[in-house]
Amino acid sequence: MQVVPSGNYIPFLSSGENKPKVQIKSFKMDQTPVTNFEFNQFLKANPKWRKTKVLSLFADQNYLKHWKHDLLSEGEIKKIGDSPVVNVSWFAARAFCHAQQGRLASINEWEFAADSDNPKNIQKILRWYGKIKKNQSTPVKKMSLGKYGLRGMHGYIWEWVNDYNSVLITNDSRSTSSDKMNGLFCGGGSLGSKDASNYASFMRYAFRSGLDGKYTYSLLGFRCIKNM
Amino acid sequence: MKLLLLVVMFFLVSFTLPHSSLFNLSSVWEDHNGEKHNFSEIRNDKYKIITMIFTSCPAACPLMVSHVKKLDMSLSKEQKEKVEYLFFSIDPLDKKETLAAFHKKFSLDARFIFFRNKNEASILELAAVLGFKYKKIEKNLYSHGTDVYLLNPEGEIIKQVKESFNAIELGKKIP
Repeated sequence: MQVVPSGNYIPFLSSGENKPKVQIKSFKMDQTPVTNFEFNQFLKANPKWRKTKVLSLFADQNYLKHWKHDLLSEGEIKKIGDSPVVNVSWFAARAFCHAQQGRLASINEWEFAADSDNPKNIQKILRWYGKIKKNQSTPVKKMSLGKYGLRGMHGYIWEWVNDYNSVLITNDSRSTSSDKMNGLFCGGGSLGSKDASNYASFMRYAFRSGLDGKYTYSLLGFRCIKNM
Repeated sequence: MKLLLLVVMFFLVSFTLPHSSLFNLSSVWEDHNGEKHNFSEIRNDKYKIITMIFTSCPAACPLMVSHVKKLDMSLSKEQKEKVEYLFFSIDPLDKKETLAAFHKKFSLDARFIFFRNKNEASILELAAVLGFKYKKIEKNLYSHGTDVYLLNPEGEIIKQVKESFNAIELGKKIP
């Protein structure tokens, strides 16, 4: 795991009247997304998360659909063992992290660690969206290195965060009275964001707002963090 | 022998839950009377109307409660006997006293139950199985959805409304 030092972070979609800055406490983060091999190890010890056993309350039908069976064969381990595990639900990702005495990062922690405001990253992620693939087979150790020694934060897969369900687009968004008005207008959300030209962040937030805890997708994986 | 078979069958039926049942959850919640319940023990023969609120909520939550109360008023006597109303707090700082005060303030009967949980992860887990969105803004203040859900006695979500003022529509699905 890599240490992400403490710091201040301004959430992309700001809410909370007087203190847009959020203090991030330092934490340790997996250097890479969790791999198929690592997830297979987890399933060996935790059968209830295997695909024929998992409750439909916690994972949809496409859970681990890129695996032939409940556990990986030797051949599959050679082929996809080192690439990021995808098609996993939030519940499964969370259970994996708990089993390692860790947890999923919050949106703020993830965005802070990912150095999301860096224009280089914004360009990188926009290029990725431009030619998005159906699956991701890059071995995690070959993924490009970002800030804090973390690999593959941008340009390969989406990643689960703990509070994925906190991106509110409509309903009771009472953060500020002006925010409430913004919600009524098309494109209104951009008025509440700190940098309207950061399309990459918009896409991540929009993606998260469409997620459901049992949802799985061929480009959605995760990594864990630990408190210091 | 036949009797034994019947007994075994009875236990199988009563203990096998549908895979999508919310009663597969095992978090422990305290109700407004101070009683603790494992989530799976909330199961009985009643339909459940479920939503999430917090008691220091300035506007939306009291409205949500009154919308749910309106739903109850729209039901027939038979329907009323088949349903319970469960409100789960999204605020881990909510106390059973404030939940009880909320219950009293709306003059609700025993079919309306408020629950709290000190463990943020359990609250988030329940929100995730419901598909309920909320966001902490600061201490004792949250933004949140106003979704209301109808569960059958087995704990499966059979209908949901996005806006609590439409809660009355859930009544049509209660036999």
